[in-house]
Formats: sequence, structure tokens, C-alpha cells
Amino acid sequence: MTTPKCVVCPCEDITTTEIEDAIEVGLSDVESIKRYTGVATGACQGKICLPALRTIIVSVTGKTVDEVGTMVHRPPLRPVPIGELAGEAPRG
Amino acid sequence: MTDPRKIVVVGAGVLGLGLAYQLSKRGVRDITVVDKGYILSGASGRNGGGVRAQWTTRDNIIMARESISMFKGLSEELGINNWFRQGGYLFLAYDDEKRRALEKSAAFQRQHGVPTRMVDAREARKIVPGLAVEKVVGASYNPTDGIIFPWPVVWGYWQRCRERGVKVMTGTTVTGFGKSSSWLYSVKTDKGELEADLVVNAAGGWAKGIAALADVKLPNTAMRHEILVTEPLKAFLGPMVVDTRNGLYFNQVMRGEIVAGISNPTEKPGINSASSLEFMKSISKAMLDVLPGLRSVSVVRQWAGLYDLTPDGHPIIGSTPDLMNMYQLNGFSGHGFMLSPFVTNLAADAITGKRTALDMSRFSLERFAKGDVEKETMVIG
Repeated sequence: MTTPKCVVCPCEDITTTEIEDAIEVGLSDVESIKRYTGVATGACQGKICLPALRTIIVSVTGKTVDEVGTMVHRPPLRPVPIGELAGEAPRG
Repeated sequence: MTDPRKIVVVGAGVLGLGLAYQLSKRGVRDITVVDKGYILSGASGRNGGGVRAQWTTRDNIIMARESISMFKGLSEELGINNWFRQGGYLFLAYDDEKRRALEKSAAFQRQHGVPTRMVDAREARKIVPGLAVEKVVGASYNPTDGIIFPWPVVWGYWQRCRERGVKVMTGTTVTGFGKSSSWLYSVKTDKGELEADLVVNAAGGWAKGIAALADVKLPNTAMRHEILVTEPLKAFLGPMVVDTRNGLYFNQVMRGEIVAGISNPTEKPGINSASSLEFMKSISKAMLDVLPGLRSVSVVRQWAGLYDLTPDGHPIIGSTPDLMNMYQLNGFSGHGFMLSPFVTNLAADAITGKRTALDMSRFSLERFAKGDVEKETMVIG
């Protein structure tokens, strides 16, 4: 199903092969694989890659979606400039 | 201490796994590491990666100096890339009293082979282009301090431990101990009971609670510490910049992102990893006061981890009074990761009866009852 050049996480350039490598060393949940590969740690914070990531883990390990889990979503919802967070008027 | 055969380590962070790895290298064959979370779920996966020898006590300076040296070879040993970058630490003083304190600690660090020197505002701005220096009256700078990426270091210990036959049980909660009046003989978990000749408490922010299960009282306090990370930028920032007025620190990690944290004097003790808007607002103002050019840089995530604070800012390493086979390896007060290469060797030597590189009585739990403490004053957070 997957090929070596298939990108799961476009923010951090993580491929399906890297996810499969993480599964190969014995990991099978989103939080661990995130920390092993760096998947979902970029600008989108998982908004683009998370469904594909979970699908790969489920299909390779045979675990359920619940067992594979998800990741804790943290603020901010979208990237926010430090100036705005400091109370300055938005620019542009 | 005579060689224990079965060792159970509670806590699979950099200290627990690092110790297990070092014990294994010293010939201990039966080691189990248990953790209620997943690998990197605690402070080892949540810290900013700072590594510095700019401390005020001899022990912290020596442990950090040696750890910096060991971080250089650790990637090769563990088969990972820890992305260690020695860009220095720059502590900014905004009044003469603080500048004198930094001068004093810098001189003390130099006595112990750490090349910290004082720089004036002009030089500080050369080290950090764009630094707002109008109010800066001086800074201490040690070019050998640096930053690592904590995640691969812990994975490296995890993988090398497993190759060596160390059993690592994640998702396993310690529920109690099999105990006589002065001895632990097992660790009870929700996945079964594990026999033990020695139990190591390396549970970080949860260490106090683990000790309490054995009726041991630790003086530790768990305290939330918040951090944020920005979008990645082209490399521009050399050192970790520290504002001594408010405990703000920020650096550019090897992924290009700025990682930043700050002290929060109103933080309440307790196990809490929630994110707060208050943190985002206060740290953003503090960052712009030091480096105004950051205003257009976007924050992509904030999170929090736990400091495991002791009353004197030094760790507790050693046997427990009246419970000699419970070994404490906790209370690292926010600087456990950076000290971990040296400390895991130190503790492994002590446990296997080898000569230790430092006098271990300085880290004993008894020191607090005796009042024999020297407080570290450069803890941030």
C-alpha cells in the first residue's frame, strides 16, 4: 500500500517508511511515534497528518483506533505571532 | 553497597533509563524499568534541552561540566543524534547587584574549569544580534554551554537498554511495595508484582508519591513549568539567552525553532500539565523586551512539564534512611536532563560498589534533616 517516498507529514517531511520503522522497533501509539519520528510536530501540529498517521498505525499493527490513540492538542489553534500574544495590534 | 541482583527502576525518563543502561554495562543482569506513561511522557520529553555549567555550587558545576563533555560522545555511544550544539548561555543582568552576583559565580565557575566570562552590553549584542541592551549592565557568558534535543537521547537509552536485556514496561503503574519494616522485597504494579533486591525511585515529579507508597517522606515539590515553541527560522541565535529579572530563557534549537520558558512566581505546587493563556501573554511580553525582532515570529505550540524541586536545588541520590534498598534518584529541580550523563554513571558506580567520582553524602536524603545544605541560586523556573 505504501511506498518509500510517500509523505505523511508535510511540515516535517516524515514519510510512511519512517512511521513503519517506528512500528518496527515496537511502538504502536500516536504519542510515542510522534516523539520517535517528529511527525505532527510542525506548523500544522497534526491537523494535516494525524488521520493518515493513525490509519497507517492501525493497518500495520492491527490495533484498533482507540488503542492507537491520538495526541494531546495544545494551544494555539493556529500559529500566532509573539507580538499579538504580547498585546500588540496585528500587523498587515 | 553490595551488588544487588534484581533491580527495579521506577520511571523511564532519562535518569531511569540512563541508570538502567549504566547498570547493565556494569554487569547487572536483571533490570526492569517501569513507567506509568509512555516513553517521554514526563519531564524528559518536555524540557527545553538546555545544558549549562553556569551554576553557583561546586557540585552542580562539576556535574554539568562533566555532562557537557559526555554529551559530545553520547550520540555515537547510543547510536542516535542528540543534536548537541554549544552556542553558550548568556545571563543578562539589569542592575549592579545582579551583575556582581554573576561576576562572583563566573569566577567560581572558572576555578572549576568552566570558561565563563563577563561581557558588557556591546559584546552581548555582538553575541546576540538584535538584543535590546539599553538596560543591560552586563552579562555572564560561557561558550561551552549549549543545547541538545532530549527526545533522541531517551530513545537511544531505551533501545540500547532493550538490546542489553533490560525489561522496559511502559503503561505500568506502581501501586505499592512488598515491604518489611526496613526492606522492600517487591514492587506491586497493575501488571503484576516484581521481585526486587533494590528499587530505584527515578519518577521525577511523581517521585514524592512513589516514596509515599513505601512510607518514605521526600521534601520534594512538584511544580508545573510552561514552555512554548515557535515556527522554525533560519539559524540566527547562538546562545540560550536568560533574563535574570524574570527567569525568561530562550534559544534556537537545531530544528530552527525558538523554545522559550519563564519563571512563574505565582505557580502553585502540584501535578499539573495544563496550558495557560497567562503564560503565553507574559512570556511574549518578556521576549519582546529582550529581543524585539521576535514580534513577527509565530508560536505553534505551548506545553508544560513538571519540575521536581528540592529545598536546596540539588538532587537526592542515594539510599533511604531506614529503608536501605530504596534508592532515590530524583529532586533534580529542573536540571535533571542536563546532568543525566554524569549522574547516571555516578549512581551506577555507587549502586555496584565502585568508587564514585563525587562524595555521595552531599546528595543524601539525610542532609535536609541535618540542615547540611548549600542552596543553588541559579535555578530558573
